[in-house]
Amino acid sequence: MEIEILNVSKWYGSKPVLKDINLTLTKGITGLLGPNGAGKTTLISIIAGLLKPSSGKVIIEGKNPFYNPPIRKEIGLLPENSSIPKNLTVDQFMAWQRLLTDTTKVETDRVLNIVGMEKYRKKKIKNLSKGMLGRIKFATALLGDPNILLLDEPFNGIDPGGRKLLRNYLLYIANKKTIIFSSHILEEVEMIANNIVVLKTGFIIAEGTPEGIRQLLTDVPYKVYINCSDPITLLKLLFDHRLIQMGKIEGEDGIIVETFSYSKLAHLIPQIAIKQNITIHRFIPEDMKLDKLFEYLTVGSDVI
Amino acid sequence: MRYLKHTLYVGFYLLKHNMATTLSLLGYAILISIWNITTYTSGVFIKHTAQESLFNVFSSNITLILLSIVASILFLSDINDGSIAYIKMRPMSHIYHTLSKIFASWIFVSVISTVIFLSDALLVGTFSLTSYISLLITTLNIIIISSFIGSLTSNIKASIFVMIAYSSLSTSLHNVLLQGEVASWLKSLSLIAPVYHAIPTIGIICIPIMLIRELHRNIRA
Repeated sequence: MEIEILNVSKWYGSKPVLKDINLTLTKGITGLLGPNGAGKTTLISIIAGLLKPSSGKVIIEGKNPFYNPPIRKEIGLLPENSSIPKNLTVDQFMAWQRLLTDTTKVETDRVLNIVGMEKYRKKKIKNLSKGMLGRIKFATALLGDPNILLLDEPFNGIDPGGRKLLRNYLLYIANKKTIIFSSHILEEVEMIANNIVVLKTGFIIAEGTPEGIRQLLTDVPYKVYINCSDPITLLKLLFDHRLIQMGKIEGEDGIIVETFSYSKLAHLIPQIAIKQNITIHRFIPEDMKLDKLFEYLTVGSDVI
Repeated sequence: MRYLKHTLYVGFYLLKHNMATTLSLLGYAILISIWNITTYTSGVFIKHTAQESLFNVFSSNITLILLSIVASILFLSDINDGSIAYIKMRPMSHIYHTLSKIFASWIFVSVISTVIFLSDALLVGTFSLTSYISLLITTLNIIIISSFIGSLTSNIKASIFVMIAYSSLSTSLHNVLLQGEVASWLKSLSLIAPVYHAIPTIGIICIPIMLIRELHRNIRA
């Protein structure tokens, strides 16, 4: 399904948030990359038809998604800021979503299986961890097998294993669906997107392939904070595996490492942890490269 | 059937989502009922008719304001935390969802009001169906106007402030009007504030405005 974004601008009062955005998005994975306040969430909300642009329009299959329930059948949204009713169980929430999407229990089971949450059906939403909540939101977006997926920071708070699971699923369906996801982490976008749109203060400052953007950043290592049960052993193992170029202990049970190969690190760290019986509590990549990218794009070339 | 199920779910969701509010109102209803029963048995209000009791208990500022505030909180709960995105994104009419919320809130507030009303009227022994129906329509009027104010302000604190001001004005004007010491312009003004009148004139006007407002609501999800 094709999404056309034509001269879309959005102001909140007198504050401009999006400025004259023009994009055509087709099948495949498009990553919206930008720091906080870049306008990613606003753009996703406008495409979803939840927010009306101040000027310009969005057209999905020839139709405007605002006030348009039928077109919403084709859209699966993972909102970043919206909460799920905390006193409901996973099953109760999914039952309601099933009712709203007019789908069956088989479909609910399917999406819960995809995100690995079938065991937590009876748990109340308020008792779920941030990562589990992220997976439930992901499952909700997949409900009804929509042709368009709008995912706002989908991997936020999810552990490395979960990220990998969801990334692989997106790659699996990428040739059949139009997928747009936002992130402020370049490596994450780079790993699955075949098209990257870089936003800053409401402007598109670059659009292109991951390779095009990668070429700008070969000399900047990536910084990751890891919180685990045995930081000293983990640090030693990461050096032994030549996965990191720099590493230091941070606090009582954390380490900060620098790597040129984020994807390799993210891929191998669960294996190392399982083998050495180390529990990884948090794995947080920092967006150092994004800063560098923005610095380059705002000072350097105009278009990648 | 799908829409009926949705309405039931909205009611279930509203009450579970607003557990503290729900329990507070239940607690208030129980306290008032106990107060009614104990004062009746001691004979304080034994001479009152059911209609007088209705006025005493139901039109009192505190009960009125509480019901209005609860109605606003219930209406705004999914708007304020953004969970409305999960409804508005779905291929179901948003008008229907708004009406479902009003209906579900009405049922809940009516049950609470019924408990208070029965504890009052049954003990006097002059329960009348007309008074009871009048009570139910009044609660509907309260729900519509409170939801309308909630919809316009989109903020619980602002909504509560407006409801308190509105309810106080409404009650004061009504009392003045009943006593007959009122200028003609004030009589006209009081017509725009009959939040607890059994004829929901204002409520009927509020509904289409509220539906248009909800249909055009912007959500930054």
